[in-house]
Amino acid sequence: MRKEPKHPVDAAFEEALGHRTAAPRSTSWEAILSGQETPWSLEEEALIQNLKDHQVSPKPRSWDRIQAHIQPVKRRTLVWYRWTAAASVLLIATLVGRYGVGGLSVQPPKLMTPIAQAPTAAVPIESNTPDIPVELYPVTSQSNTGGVTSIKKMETAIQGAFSTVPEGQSRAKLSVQWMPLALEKIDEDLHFVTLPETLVESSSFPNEIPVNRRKNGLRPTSPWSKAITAYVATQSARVKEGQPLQAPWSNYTIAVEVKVPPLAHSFIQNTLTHP
Amino acid sequence: MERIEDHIPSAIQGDLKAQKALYEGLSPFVLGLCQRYFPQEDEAEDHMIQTMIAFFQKLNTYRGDAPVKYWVRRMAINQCLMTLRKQSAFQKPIEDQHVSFDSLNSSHDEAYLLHLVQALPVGFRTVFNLYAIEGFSHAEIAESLGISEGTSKSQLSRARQWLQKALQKSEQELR
Repeated sequence: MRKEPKHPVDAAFEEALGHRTAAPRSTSWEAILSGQETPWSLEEEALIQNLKDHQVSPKPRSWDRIQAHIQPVKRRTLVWYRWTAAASVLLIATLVGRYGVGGLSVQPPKLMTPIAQAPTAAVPIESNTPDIPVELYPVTSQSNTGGVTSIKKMETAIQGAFSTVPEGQSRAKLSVQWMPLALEKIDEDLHFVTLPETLVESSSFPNEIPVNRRKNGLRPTSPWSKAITAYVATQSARVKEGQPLQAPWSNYTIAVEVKVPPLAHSFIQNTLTHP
Repeated sequence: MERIEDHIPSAIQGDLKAQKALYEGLSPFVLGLCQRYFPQEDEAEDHMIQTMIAFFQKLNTYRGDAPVKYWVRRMAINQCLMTLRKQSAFQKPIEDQHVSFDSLNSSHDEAYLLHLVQALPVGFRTVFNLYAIEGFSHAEIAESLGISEGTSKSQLSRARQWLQKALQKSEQELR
């Protein structure tokens, strides 16, 4: 094949520019390098491996911060329950002991939560003090036990409401929430033996009573606590005999109204509204 | 032999012991990762805590198709990047990011190597961590950080140059 002669203009440009060179900018090489997937050097590999394996023990208090976020409601309500329940129980037991049952004038119990079904009195409860009636209403809408039938595993949510009326003062209602605790514990708690242990932590509770005396003084003396004890005793007996629970404890709302002297009213209000 | 994943069902049910076991098994790893992104000890610890909180809150969505360590690792990286993005850490021009060897003491122990990475400017450090240690591609890094692939490549290249110099310097000093 015969080569065509180059056009004179092309030849002139080739001669002038064909061998021209120019120095690149210093950053160009870096740009080329960065575009390449260059393998890691041994030192770099050691560094990377070391960093991959790097682990550090966190500070001890970090777990507390995490725990506070992941179980905030349960922890707070448990503390709330323990404090309010212990305070209420001790107070009522003390008042009953001091003034006697007759010294407490009592309003008829009021239901504080909606009833999803009519009262069926599925659980027989015997109260030795009929002058302060306590009624338990089934409230199926509040059940949180999910059909658990084992008394050992069941958790309960008892909701109660105190309405205290100081003498010569207008009525003030105080709601008290009893939050989940294991029913197996209730059996003990209802003898009010374990609750005072919580009170030991409370420095604000007046009339400090030694723990050993508290235990004796905190037997279920109030009618409602007797009712609870009776309920648990009945259900415990059924479980021991291999029978299912008649109704989950959480299906009940307890409403108790007790008239108390002004000082006690003030104490209840302060303690129950400021856990 | 008990695996860390064995604690997950109980932890989802709210079992505190199982949650603590997961925390004890995973938190050193997560904190180690956070320290690579945040040189300040408290800042790293805060990010570990936030990661573990998110981990427990989302634990019921864990499907078990990958080890839980990888799952929490991804959460930790996201947690760190979220903060860095808020700080607009990657928008700073590379030229403005001053790197100094002055504060480095020569040795080859783990603390020193971590210190080397922590001493990198935030852009270099983040890209290096994501590419070299976490195994992300430049495309993934660019998307995660809101930068171009070219910027990711150049930041990595600069980080490597700086690290190589630092390692050479420490080698010479050790001799």
